[in-house]
Amino acid sequence: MKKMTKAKLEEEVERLRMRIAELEHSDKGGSSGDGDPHYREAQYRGIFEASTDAFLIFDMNGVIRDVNPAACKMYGYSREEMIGLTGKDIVHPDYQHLFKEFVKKVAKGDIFSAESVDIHKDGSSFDIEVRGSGIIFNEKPHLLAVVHDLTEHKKIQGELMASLKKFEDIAGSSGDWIWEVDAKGKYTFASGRVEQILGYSPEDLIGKTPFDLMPGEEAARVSGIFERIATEKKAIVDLENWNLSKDGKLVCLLTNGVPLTDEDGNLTGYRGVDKDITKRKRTEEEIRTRNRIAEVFLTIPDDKMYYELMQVFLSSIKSEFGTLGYIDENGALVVPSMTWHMWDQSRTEDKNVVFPREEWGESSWSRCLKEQKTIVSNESSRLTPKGHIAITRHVSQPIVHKGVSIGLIQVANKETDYNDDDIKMLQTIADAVAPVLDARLKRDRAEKELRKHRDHLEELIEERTREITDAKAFTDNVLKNAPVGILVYQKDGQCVSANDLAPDLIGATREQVLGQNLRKIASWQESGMVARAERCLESGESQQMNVSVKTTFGKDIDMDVHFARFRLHEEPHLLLIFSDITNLKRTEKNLKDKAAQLEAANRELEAFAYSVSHDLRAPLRGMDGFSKILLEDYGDKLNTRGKDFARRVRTASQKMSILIDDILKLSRVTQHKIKQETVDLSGLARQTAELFRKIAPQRQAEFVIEDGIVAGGDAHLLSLVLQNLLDNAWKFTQKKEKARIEFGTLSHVDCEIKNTEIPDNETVYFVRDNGAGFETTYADKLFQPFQRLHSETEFEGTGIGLATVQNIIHRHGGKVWAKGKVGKGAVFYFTLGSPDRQDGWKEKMT
Amino acid sequence: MKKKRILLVEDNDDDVILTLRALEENHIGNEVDVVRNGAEALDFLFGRGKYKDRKAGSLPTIVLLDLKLPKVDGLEVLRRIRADERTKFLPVVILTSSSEENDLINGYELGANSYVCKPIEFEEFARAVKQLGLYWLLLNEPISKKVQEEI
Repeated sequence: MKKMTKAKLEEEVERLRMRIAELEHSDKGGSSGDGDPHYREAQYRGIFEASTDAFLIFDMNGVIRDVNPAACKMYGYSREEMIGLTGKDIVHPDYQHLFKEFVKKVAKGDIFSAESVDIHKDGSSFDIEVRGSGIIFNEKPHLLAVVHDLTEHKKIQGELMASLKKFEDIAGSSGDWIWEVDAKGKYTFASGRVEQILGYSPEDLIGKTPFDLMPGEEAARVSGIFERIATEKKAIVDLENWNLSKDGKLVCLLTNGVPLTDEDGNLTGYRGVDKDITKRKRTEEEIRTRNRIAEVFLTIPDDKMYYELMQVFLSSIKSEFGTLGYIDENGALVVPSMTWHMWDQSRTEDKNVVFPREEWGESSWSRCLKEQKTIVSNESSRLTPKGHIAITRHVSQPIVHKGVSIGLIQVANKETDYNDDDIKMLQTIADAVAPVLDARLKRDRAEKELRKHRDHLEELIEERTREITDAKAFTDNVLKNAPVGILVYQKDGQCVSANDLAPDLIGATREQVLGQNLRKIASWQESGMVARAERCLESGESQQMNVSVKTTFGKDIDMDVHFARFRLHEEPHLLLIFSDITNLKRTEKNLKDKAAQLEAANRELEAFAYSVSHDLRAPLRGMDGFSKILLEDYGDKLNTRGKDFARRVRTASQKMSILIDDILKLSRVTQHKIKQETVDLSGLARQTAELFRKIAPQRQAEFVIEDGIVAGGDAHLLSLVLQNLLDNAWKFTQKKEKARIEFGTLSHVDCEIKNTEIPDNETVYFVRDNGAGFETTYADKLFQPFQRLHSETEFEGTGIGLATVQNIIHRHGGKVWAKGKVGKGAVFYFTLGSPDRQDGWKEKMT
Repeated sequence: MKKKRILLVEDNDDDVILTLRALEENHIGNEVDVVRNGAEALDFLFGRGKYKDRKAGSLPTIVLLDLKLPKVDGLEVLRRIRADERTKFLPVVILTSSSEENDLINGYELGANSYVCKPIEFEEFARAVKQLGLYWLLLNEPISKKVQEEI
């Protein structure tokens, strides 16, 4: 309204000025009466007299020289009273400076315009609007002031404001204010409420555009929208826009407006209402942020979540840089996400993405975590390590859940200072993040644990599977290759499983076997197998038996049968393992028969030996005794020849006596029960050698006896072996000037032996001499009783010794053989049976 | 002093002659009674059969017992001697050709006082018999009848 008044005033002034210009023009032209100064004055005077505005003409000193009637009326003076007054008389003391300015400006030739307060003759003051310009009066330059009384206008304006207030009140929300803009968008009016909202007074806004209040980008956006709407002269509907209040706060306004047009339909401006929806927007944004946070937590997997989350708060807080970290189970701060370029620029050699608690130091973020409070700094940080990006301002916000710091949010380098809103927002974010981060961390930890367990479980399963596979392979293999029949019967007697060999052994097919029920097999019943099977099933006691049966399938078989109970599918089953011992039985019988025969033969031999020892001796004693008596009692009656014959009888009987003794020895050896002892063969050989040396100290004989030869066997018998062999060697070297007799062992691979019948691992013992030797052709005869390769006159002996040796060696499970060459000596080799038995004996001894 | 006598239980004539000769050579040949088998030996000792007229209680000082005897063998004879109250302390020397260990063991088990294997060579045999005779007849002190009864 004020504006409209002002416009009217300006119109008026403009009209006057034009009129003045016209007059001046007519002065110059001088073609008509217009050019006459009197006429001009008369015209001027007419306006002067008629105007409702007060016209006051001042001389250059500011003294009134003329006034019009409107002036008299306005100020309450008569024309005469007013002439001679100065600005001091009619201008309010507070506005004297304006009057001085008026005089100064207009005297210079400028136009002056101002609102001011003047004084009535009665002392009352009133608002005026004044425009000043130069004027020629009485042919001298004077100052003209055209004064418009604003009292009425103010009154109307007051009423208007009251109604506006009423409207604003009615329009309701305290956040609403009313405005008007011109076609260019400049404010021509703003209601008082704006001050509460934006901090600007309505007067501050006049002449500005709404875009002046917005931050750069927002201004560009909104002005663009406004231009489009204005072009089409459309209404502005619910246009949201962000503005900066006078104190720098962001305020969100919801703008609605209608276009204003003149009579010709040209757009003259907009009139509308702005609503402050900052709080709503903040709430919305908070909700959106919270939603986004929840969404991020719910949808983004792994550590990428932290990056996404950081993006949420970076955009919310409008910060360039940020970090998001959590406290791990060891209390260290783990920062899975930083603004990437920050990370790149901040990377220093020693920097790690994990910050162990003991290395936290005294930085702002460590303080923030320890004290659980937000730390804000709008000053450049001086604590950043070398290589770290410059931090101009930053906020550290702990994420606290149930009183424990579980994480850290950091933002930095916002363009403007971090204010309460940012901090509030960040705290809101931290509060929103806390429970979900806690859950997430717990879940991650649980998952980690679970994964560990699962891995372990998988490992166990794998191991178990392998074990089972191995066990199955083992079982399958055993079942397939076992040289026994294996059958499995259910509790009800039904056969449920059979290995390949089982049907073969009893002369059946697999199907026939599987179709059988053990209780219905006649041969089982007859042989007592059913009874054993029942007992085993009932008691779980394993059963073993040997049976000879004719199977259902017609096969005669001797079986060694084992019954065992086991569980299969939670049910007791009977396991039957049987082997075909038909051949074994047959062999056993044969062996028994043989053993009986042998036994009988042995008994005969025993009887024979006994009679030899007893019965053969008596006649010999007779022969010897009577020939002796013959020589003693009747020697004088015998000639030399007769005596020789009697002597020969004696000699023969004595020789036979030796023979009998040797045979008896052999017989005794045969009957001697072999003991198992560890025998020091080297020692025995040495004892024998000593004996020989004592008997014949005159002989030059070298004994070479290997040390430490120990064998398992019967000590008495083995000593007989050595005695006989060494005796043999001693005997056959008696004609040697230097005898050499060796006792030792050989390994089988020695080319000397080449006896293929001897297993590789058996020790071969030998007795070697350099005596008379023998023809290898007769080597086998050496060991037969009474066989001799030399004449009695050459070497005495009965031919029993080597037979005895062979007997003993054979009874030890060994072998004996000989090699020789006439005149070059002989070697006797022998073994003492398998090393297993040898070892067994040795172990027994130790 | 009562005359000491030897009972020779021997079925082999040769051995009887050779034994007697060996004893004679040592001047103890006259005090020998000879029986030819085990049954006869038992009859002689217990005064039965053809010896029932033999004065009861006149036991020999020593019995030289062969083992291999017809009818009742030497070991059985020994067993019966030891089983009888009258003869259980009677010195018995087994004089045999057998050098079988079993015979030896059995002989001693049944209570033989000595076991002598007859050497085949006569000279050795004679020496053995002589020593036996000297020991048992002259050196050994038997339990007197009176003491035996008291026991």
